[in-house]
Amino acid sequence: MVFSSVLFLFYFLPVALVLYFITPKRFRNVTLFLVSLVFYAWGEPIYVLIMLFSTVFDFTNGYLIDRYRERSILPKVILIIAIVGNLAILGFFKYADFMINNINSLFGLSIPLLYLPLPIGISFYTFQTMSYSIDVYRGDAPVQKNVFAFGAYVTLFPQLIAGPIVRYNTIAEQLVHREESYDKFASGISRFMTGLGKKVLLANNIGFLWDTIKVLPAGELSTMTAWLGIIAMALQLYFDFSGYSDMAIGLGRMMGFEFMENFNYPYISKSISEFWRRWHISLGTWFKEYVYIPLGGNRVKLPRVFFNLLVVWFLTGLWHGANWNFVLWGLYFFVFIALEKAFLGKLLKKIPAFFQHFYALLVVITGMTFYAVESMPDLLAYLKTLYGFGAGGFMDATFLYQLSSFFPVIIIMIIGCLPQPAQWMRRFATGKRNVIVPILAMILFFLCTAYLVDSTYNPFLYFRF
Amino acid sequence: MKQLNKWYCILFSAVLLTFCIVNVATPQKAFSDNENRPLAQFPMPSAESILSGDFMTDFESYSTDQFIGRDFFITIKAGAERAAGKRENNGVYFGKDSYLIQKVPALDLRTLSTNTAAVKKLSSLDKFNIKVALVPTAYEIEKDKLPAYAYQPVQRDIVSLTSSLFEQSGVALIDPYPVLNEHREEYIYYRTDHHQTAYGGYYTYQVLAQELGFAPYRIEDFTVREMSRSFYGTTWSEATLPDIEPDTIYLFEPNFDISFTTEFIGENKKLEGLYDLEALSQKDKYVMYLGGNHPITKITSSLQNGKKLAVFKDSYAHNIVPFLANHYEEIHMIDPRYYNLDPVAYLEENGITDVLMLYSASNFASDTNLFKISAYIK
Repeated sequence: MVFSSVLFLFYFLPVALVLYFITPKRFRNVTLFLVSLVFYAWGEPIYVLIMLFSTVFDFTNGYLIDRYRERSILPKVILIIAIVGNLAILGFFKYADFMINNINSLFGLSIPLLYLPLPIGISFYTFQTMSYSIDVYRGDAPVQKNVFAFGAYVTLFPQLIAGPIVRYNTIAEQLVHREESYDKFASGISRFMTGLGKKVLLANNIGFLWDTIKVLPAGELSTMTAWLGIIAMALQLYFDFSGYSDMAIGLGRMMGFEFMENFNYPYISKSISEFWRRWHISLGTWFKEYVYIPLGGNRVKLPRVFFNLLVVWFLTGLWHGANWNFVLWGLYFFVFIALEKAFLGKLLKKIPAFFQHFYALLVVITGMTFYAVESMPDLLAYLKTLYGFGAGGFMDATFLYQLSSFFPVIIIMIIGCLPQPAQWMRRFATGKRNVIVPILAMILFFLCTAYLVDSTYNPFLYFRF
Repeated sequence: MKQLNKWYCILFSAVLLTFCIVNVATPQKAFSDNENRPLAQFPMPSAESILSGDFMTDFESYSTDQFIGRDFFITIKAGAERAAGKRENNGVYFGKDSYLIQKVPALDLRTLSTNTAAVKKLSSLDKFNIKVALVPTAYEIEKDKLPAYAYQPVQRDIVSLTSSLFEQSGVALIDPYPVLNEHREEYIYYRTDHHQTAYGGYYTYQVLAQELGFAPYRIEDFTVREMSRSFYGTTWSEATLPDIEPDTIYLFEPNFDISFTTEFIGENKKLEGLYDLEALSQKDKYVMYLGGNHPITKITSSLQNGKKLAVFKDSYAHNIVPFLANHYEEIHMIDPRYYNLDPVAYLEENGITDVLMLYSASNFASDTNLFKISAYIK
């Protein structure tokens, strides 16, 4: 089930909220666990069993790690079992066919593919459950002895299918002691509506432009059309993904949770390192906490630092999808981050801010091609066209038509990439003027409903995650 | 502030719950007149349909199709799109002079060559005299009314490609474009529907008549009757803009003595004459012409000249064939989208040798049922 649907907004959400708030406080995690299971089973009636297995498996592992904490080697063994178990689930359901394909082409074999559909959100919840075992092992979080509270954490419907990836130690306390209140609920509504508007009114809108351009033969596009397409894609991904995070944070807040922020205006970055501190923050933090730092992070000799970065970016790329283009995408960022670490970062600081922004945006947007175009020949053709080596010339009627049709939306979205509108809103909506917040939220809700009722186009972008 | 937030929460919850309850409590509608399609109904859950996920998919269609005030919300969306500077909605251009013009699909070479191959195969039997007429749509003829830069010569490309694919095959191609283009200032295409008006049908008929070897009747030979001034067609349903004037439906009544019966073969239904006047009371008034789409429509006239014609067609033919009917004793319209038996056998049984393929240029290049016309030929 996705948030941006009539089904979620007008059937699931009212029922779930009513059930949640009529439940006595100490049983609310049970309710949350059960409605979350329904939420997930709606889209994955079979695969919900994997999630239940994962819940029980990691609950047990955490319990055992804590119970045998004093034994010398046992906790470590259990932790390894926990990590291997989670990675095995993820590897089997997400990467099996990818590996078979690679083995086949490497050794000239023809092992049949499994064609398993990818369980939605598996990359998110396996990362969360892994964080639990690791946090308990490290003593960063207390063990959770209530299976429903733990179940609620794993299945938590607000962030189940598209993040943010909530690490256990950031939420352990809230699972047991959280306060719901009108103020939090109200702030949650506003946040949710912001996200819904970003997704339904803006991301879906511009996504239509990218979908139109990506089906044209990449080699025959004009250069300007190719840029328009990839910029549309970059805007779509940001508004869609950060919109989902806003909705997740908002829904969490309605029920008293406070999740970490997942996006922080990534397109105003002045370098690639900065971009990744602002984009999908929960994923970056996860890799930093559980991969980069355990490998030694920055506190090792420079060549080893580069190696650590390489590992992290290879995995980050692969996490986004079981295909080489995603790996390439990760490695592409590794190259720039390594260069910035080596010398480029210092160099950039010396040039005017405008050029720093230009550099960061150019690299990020060009990089979107790796993410968005999955087949290698198409990818190369698209890159060629972007940089003026295509067969379609500089500009054509397609570009002019699409630009004229989408110009206002593009301008609104570019403004939306900046922090100023939100700052301005916060400054304006104080005291009596605060009444504008519910009014705007209701207008947004009304418009989103109109778009969702006529839902001819409402893509879900994270089915590869 | 505290008080405001409380009311904010209550308002939001009330909206959610009200919509939830009203949606569940309102009886469901079977058909949407506006959209001219049946609406999804509440799916009965079963263990099987839940495990396969079919129930969930069906329920989601139900939830949007039966949403309270659906037509209103759809109009709001279209209005918002236009206000945001969009030039189209749901595949329909917001044209000038309130023309709502259907987009045409990009040229699909594979389907076009499948379709021309099917026609050539039929022709290679050497039993039939085949002519193919490709009628341009409003996108081509009314291109001045399209939003800036939207036009691409897709349909002209289809015609020239088809012409080269038919070279030396004995199949003749008829292109009504030049004549229709001359009359483009007239009301020959509906503004709110993807079809031609009866005037458009008349000019297309003029071109066809010449190629089929007879002189067409003059426009003065007909009395033009206005049948309805409140026709909102398919492009209106898709674009759903609220402030568009409806179209007018015309009927050309011959001033000379002739009568027709229209039979829908295999359906046990017939019309006296060529028109289903009852259709004027429904939303899709274009169905008036020859009663809409049927597998086989047989038109018998009071003429006794022994002339017979088979027309393989899409719905563009429906207001052109009534003119052709004035020259034939029998016309058999076959719609390959709905007719799945061997058409060659049908033509032979009825002693027909003259065959006309009458399609909109875009449909001819994208329809995936045309192969059926020669599917039974070994």
